[in-house]
Amino acid sequence: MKILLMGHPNVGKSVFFNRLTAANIIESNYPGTTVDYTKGYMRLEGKDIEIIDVPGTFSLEPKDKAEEVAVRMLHESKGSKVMCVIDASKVERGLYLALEIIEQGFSVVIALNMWDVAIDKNIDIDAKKLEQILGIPVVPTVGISGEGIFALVSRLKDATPVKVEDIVERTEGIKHKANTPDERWALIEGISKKIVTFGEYQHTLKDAIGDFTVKPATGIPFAIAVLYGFWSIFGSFAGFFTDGFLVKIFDEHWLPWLQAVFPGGLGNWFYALIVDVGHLENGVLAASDNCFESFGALSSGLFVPVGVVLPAIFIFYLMLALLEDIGYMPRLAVLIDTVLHKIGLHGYAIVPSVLALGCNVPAVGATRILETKKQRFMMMTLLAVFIPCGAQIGIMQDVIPGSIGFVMLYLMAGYFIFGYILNKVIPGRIPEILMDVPPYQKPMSRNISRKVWMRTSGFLKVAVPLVIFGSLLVNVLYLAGTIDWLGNILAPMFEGWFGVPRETAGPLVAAFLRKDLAVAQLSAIEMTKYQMISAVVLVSIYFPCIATFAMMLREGGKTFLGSLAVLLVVVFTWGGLLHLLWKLMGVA
Amino acid sequence: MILTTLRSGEIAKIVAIEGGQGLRQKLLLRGVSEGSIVRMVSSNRGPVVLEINGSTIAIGRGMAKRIIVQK
Ligand SMILES: Nc1nc2c(ncn2[C@@H]2O[C@H](COP(=O)(O)OP(=O)(O)OP(=O)(O)O)[C@@H](O)[C@H]2O)c(=O)[nH]1
Ligand SMILES: [Mg+2]
Repeated sequence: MKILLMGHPNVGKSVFFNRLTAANIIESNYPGTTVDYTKGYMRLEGKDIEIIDVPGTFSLEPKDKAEEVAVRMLHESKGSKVMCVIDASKVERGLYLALEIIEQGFSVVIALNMWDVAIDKNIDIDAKKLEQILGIPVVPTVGISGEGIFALVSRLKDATPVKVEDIVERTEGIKHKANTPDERWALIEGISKKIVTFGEYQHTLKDAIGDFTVKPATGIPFAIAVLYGFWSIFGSFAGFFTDGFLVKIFDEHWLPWLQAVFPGGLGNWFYALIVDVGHLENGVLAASDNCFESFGALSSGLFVPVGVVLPAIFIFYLMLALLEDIGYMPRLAVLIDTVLHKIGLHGYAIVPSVLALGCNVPAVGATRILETKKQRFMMMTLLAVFIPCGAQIGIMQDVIPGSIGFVMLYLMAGYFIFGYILNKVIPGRIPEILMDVPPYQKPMSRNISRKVWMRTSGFLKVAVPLVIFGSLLVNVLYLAGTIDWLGNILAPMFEGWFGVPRETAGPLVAAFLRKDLAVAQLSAIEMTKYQMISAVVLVSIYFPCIATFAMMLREGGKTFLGSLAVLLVVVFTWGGLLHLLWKLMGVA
Repeated sequence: MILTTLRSGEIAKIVAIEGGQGLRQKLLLRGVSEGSIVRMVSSNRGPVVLEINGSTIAIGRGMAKRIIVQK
């Protein structure tokens, strides 16, 4: 037996999945969190039963890529049982999907989840009666506390296929069949008349805050304050840990220790790869005194991801998890909708955009929730080109604290300008926003800490090996003379067009693996403040890192070539423009 | 009257959804149906934000203009 968890977006399917399988799937308080399926196993009566968390879908007629996955999963799983999760405060719409699934001949159990929310809203549902009409198990549940989930699982065995005609028969007052959408809605109305009573809805402070933060007049100033707060906390927290502790540990203890105990010593090629390449001082090779300049796989290679980026990533994901779980993201989406429409996207694009500030890889996946090809292509391209990831922002905080604001603004301007142009050039429809705005919720520390842990450890698992490998690779290429050769060949372009030193070639090679490593390596090259800004911008907008690259290929397929074309145009124009700007200011 | 002309805080009943089957179905699946009582949360600028049966939903203005209400 196999079990599919299906239902509308944001009803609590992933919460169920995590509880049933002890897995760790991201749960957040906005629709469209899960965009791909995940398999897991649940122990039931001594047997391991496969259970699948499916992306949310409104109906079996898919409207976006995530919904397509959901419908495909169902069609590929003939004979499995479906746990249909319905938001008890929105029963009618949930029943539509349930009826469609029943019609396909699946055995279904229904979880009336968010039972607590329905009670809060004074909505009374007769679950017994619903069970009797539908002829399948119906169990009230509260996903976050686990209430009812055990009962739900124990009722799985009672789920058998039922005929919709029988449901029609049991719903008095309905005479027709239920084959068309209109007939199904009529049936649902008939059912809900018998089982749902809406009591007077008492508005609470939470609703008042909800209104206040979603109306443009009050919501926009509030959003600006939130984002400003986000940025300030991000900068001060990361700075505090990196400059206050980690730099000292790495530069005063780790590096000297490595230099003392590692065999070989300055000038030895193996020592250079692993510990310290050193630098020329008056023609003599001298040891580095910090981990930015040493370039070794175990010095810079560990310092960059652990010493500099880790605190930044941690605080970013902590604050992101709070915003997600409280339920602020959908409100941000509503507020920014008008602006994003001007560049061919709609408000929901804020979700992939914000996720990209953590890591571009899941952000590319999140574009599945956008409805049209045009929007997906634009979103994927814009975020891969213009949105620096958390690791890169973290290292920029440390390396160019004075200019990071400018770099971010310049990239943001590029996002909007190129978005505007792409929107004009690319044919295709821009649908309007149509989105549930879930109620605010108190974030649960268990979920917050789990998400932060998952994302942060995910970062470490990928970043540490890749940064170490990247350092090694670049060092080998240096030693082999390849980087100098590349720099000399490309010198006219680097120096003439972009206005950066030819040594930038090395970091740009590294940028293909990790952008954080690339920015760290830039800091060891001698150049003016303005050249540094140009170089950092180049690192950001030039090729996405290899992980993002792979994800774009997977998600975009052929449109990836289009993204590459846009990328090349952006690198040359947007990168070159900065040089022109410096020339006009007389600083280049 | 058209939904977008409701001011924030006003309450009305949806009497018709003008438009194709596709739009109707999309709205029905989000709980926007004829006969529902709605409370306008935000209608001045940007997408229209509505409260229906205690749930909140944001609807693009183009779609919202196809929804007819009665106070
Ligand atoms: N109050 C309340 N909140 C719940 C309940 N179940 C889940 N939630 C919250 O609802 C939100 C959505 O839960 P998810 O499990 O991410 O929803 P999902 O169905 O997987 O959503 P998609 O992946 O977008 O399709 C989270 O913030 C949960 O904490 C419940 O019974 N009561
Ligand atoms: Mg989910």
